[in-house]
Amino acid sequence: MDTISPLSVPPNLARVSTAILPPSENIPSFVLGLDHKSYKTQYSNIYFTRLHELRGNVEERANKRWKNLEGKPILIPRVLEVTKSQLCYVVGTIYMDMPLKPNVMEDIARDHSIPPPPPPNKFHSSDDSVMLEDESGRIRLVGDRVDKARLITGVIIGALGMETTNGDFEVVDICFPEMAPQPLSEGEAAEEDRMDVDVSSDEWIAVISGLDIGALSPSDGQMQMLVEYLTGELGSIDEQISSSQISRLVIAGNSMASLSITGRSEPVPNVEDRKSRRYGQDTSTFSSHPMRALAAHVLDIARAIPIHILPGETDPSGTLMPQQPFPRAIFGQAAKLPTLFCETNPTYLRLGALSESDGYSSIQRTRTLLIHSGQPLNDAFKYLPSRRNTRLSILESTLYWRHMAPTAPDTLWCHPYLDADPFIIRETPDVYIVGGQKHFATKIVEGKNEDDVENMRLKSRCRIVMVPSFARSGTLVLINLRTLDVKCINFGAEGMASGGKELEKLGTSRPPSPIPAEPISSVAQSQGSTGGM
Amino acid sequence: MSSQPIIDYLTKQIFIQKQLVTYRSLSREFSLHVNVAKNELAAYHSNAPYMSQTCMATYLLCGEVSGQRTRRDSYESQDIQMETSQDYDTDDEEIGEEVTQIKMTVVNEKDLEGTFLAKSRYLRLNSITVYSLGPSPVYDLDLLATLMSTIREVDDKKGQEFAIKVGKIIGKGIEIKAGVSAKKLVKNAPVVGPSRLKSTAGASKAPAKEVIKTEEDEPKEKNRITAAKPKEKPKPAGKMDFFKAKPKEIKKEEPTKPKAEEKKHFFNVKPVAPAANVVSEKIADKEPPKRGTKRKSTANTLLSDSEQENQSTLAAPSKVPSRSKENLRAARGVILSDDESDVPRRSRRKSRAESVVNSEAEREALALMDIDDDQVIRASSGTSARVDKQEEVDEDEAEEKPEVQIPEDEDTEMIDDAAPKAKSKPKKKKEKKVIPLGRNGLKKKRIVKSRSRLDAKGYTITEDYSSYESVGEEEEPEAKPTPAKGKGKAKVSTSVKKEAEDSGVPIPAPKAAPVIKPAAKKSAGAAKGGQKGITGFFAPKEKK
Repeated sequence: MDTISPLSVPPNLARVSTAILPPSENIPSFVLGLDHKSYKTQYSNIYFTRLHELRGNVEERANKRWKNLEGKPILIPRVLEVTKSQLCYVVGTIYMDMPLKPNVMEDIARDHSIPPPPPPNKFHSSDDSVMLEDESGRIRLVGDRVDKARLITGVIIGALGMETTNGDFEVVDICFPEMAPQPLSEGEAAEEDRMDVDVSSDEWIAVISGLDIGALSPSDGQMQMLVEYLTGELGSIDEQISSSQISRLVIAGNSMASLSITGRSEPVPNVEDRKSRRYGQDTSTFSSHPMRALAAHVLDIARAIPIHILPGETDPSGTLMPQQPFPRAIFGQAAKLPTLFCETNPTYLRLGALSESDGYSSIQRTRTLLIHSGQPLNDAFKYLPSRRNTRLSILESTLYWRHMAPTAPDTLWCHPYLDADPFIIRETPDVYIVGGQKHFATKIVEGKNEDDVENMRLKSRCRIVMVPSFARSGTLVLINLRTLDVKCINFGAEGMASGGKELEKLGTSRPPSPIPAEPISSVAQSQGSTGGM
Repeated sequence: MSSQPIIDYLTKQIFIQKQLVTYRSLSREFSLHVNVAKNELAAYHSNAPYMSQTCMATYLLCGEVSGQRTRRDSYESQDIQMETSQDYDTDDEEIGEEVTQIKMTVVNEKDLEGTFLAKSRYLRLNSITVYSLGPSPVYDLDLLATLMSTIREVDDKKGQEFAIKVGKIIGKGIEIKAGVSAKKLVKNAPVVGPSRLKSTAGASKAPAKEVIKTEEDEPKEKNRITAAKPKEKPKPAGKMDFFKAKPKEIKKEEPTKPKAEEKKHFFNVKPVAPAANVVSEKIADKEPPKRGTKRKSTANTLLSDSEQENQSTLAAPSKVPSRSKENLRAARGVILSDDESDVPRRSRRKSRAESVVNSEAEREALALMDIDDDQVIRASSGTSARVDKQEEVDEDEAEEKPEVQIPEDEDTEMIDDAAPKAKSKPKKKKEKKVIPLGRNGLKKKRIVKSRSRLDAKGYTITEDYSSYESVGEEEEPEAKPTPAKGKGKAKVSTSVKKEAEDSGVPIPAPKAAPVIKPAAKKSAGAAKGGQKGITGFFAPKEKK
């Protein structure tokens, strides 16, 4: 009886809570209102507004960076007006001309009696050429610098160089918009002094992605453990305390398994594939059971914790990129709970930690979270060779590009905005969460402070987190809103099948256990061997 | 520590019902805090061997693991990624910062030891708690999730205070709101509560309904099919179908509904129906198939008058109630019933037509059917005193119309045929000129006899020829009227039938079709051979 020390009932644990704050003026909404319901507008508007909005910033930065160079490079306002053999710089939008990239013309010309070829995992090939374009036209960028730079379609850059004899633009240096400013978090300065803050009062948020409910290999057991942990029932008091610090759960997409039978295969964001799947769906085999299962889990959790749920690539939602919130009604009973928040796919979340003092609660500090379900990152990943470009590095780059989905109108389907590009990151979030990834990864990204100092600002600082699929990894990611620390919790089992996997092999040969005659003793021995806890 | 009821409960669940008990289900059962429940399970498990009962426990291990190790573990378990990693997952090199990895693992008690041997999985083990007890080791983690729905149900019913008591940690900000909603949930519990169970139940019901529906549909469809077949197919095939189809109909409907009885009635009644059913006749006026059936039925009535009278008297009462039933059913306004009412009606008609064949006079009738229609009609119109008034009317019309209409028809035919005939006549003349011998044996002989005697059976045929022509033309009109008379009569009969067809028959009744066909052939034949003659016959009269 000593192996498992009796647990004491904790005094009523109170869950840390956070408040949702209204978004600041720099944070766009991704909800498509009535004024966005039209699909008549051309996609070129997005490129135009994007360039228009970011050009000034890039020009300013480029000027600062290159003004002292020898040769006095001048800014050429239009890319086609570059003059040969004169050092200059231009600002424009990158366009990647890639043979492997899906092409509308090819799609139209294709013989439709033949099924389309499987989409490539990568658009990247050695035949790619990088173009810089603006309203006037395009010019091809060449040079070593271009090859090394991390460039994908839709990124706004400034390029320093000169035109070569055959009309290309030999690039010497490249200038990105760099990280967007970050507003000073309220109360953060005050917090600096009280470093001795009680750790247990830190508020965390939990993030999962890729529940894949309805997959061929269900992970019910892990889901069960997840629910128990979040509601504070699992484990010992330590776990329950840590659970009580979780103020919110964010479900970053892919809650439902994709309809394709390929259980664990990479869910490629392939547009044609999805389309054919949807129309080819056999209504006789359709079942709403996965949706009910999801609703049940959501209900379980939402009774204890506020949930923010984003649609994802495999979810029953639109394909166009600002994916709109799930209709609440599909969550059945949980829809009545005030703790269920259906969010758009990229979404900003502004949270304030509540500190209760003197009987009223005040907002102690605010954190801005940017969350999406991973499609932009997965799409951008296809543009670049894997060698030097990891998903994490690309994710980091999106902050430098000030754009979360540069490939949006090109290979990532998105809504045809007329007068705005909501994917521009105007304000660096404190936490930048991307779901639908293969592996967990995280990093603190800090702005290059060369000019931030000049502006008398604090450095932009952002925690980027890649959240892996829960169904595959059983991983729940916890983020401390105060310190931006990150913690992973893995749910799983050993010696038994879970999540459709075969029996996990134990690291050691399993000795024929003499149980259950005297289970206590054996457990006691083993406990002893670990040297206690 | 542990109370007797808990022990009893555990004993019952594990050893009698052979079910898993998790700390959650125990806590829900006795309104215990989950931690107390875990303690209870541990206590029971440790005491069980002394009570000569063995139960298998699963434990939950919580602790910190090193990030690298979990990564390596994840490789081992995720083979696919290894395979595709060359191109893809070079980003494994960079996972950014190392973060604390906490691992929560459920293990069987016998694997607990193994886990400890592989203790390097955990850098630091925070806790071991009992997760569940069961009669046998758990080999699938998902098994532990099977109790989820029942627990959810309990949570649904008992509301928020219970949840807190049990140990759920509920957010502050939410508390009040959640409490309200929880109360609502509690109120609604019987209705909304066990969403899962209910939904599954609903799902199970829905399919059941569907099954029933499909069952209902099937007979209908079959009815339709049987209905369609006789119409489409010529008579003999129709009969065959009927014999096959009829038993099916009855069989199918018997299990489903009492209606089958009605249908049986219909089937029995049918022989009577054609003759006796005035009401249906009215409908029949609109619907062609009946005419065909009627005509046949009259044929039958001839043969089996006495039988039909008997049957009609018998059937009349039975028929009326069945009708009213049908109406009632239709009146109920159930959508299905509408369809059904349609279907039986159709089937009744068909079956009536078919039943005629089926009746005792069947063979005789069949024999009759082979007889020319003209005879049959005459006989029926002449002898059957008990034919319905409507039928008489019909036949009167039929008889009158042919006389009136024949000229009309003929006129139209004249118009149609005038041009072709004009063309065809000269052709024939030419042919006669060119090949006199080969054309008509009879004519030639006559001609030869009359004219060629003079010559010595000769070789001077060409000379004779011119003289023969005139004679031949004169004789032709004489010869034609005689066949034309016979054909004219035939035409009257066929025209009657045509009328029947025209007035009534978009879809010729199963039996009517075959009968008409030979007639049609005759008429066609007459049209080719005899229409010249008729036109020739009438044309001169009109001119005169």
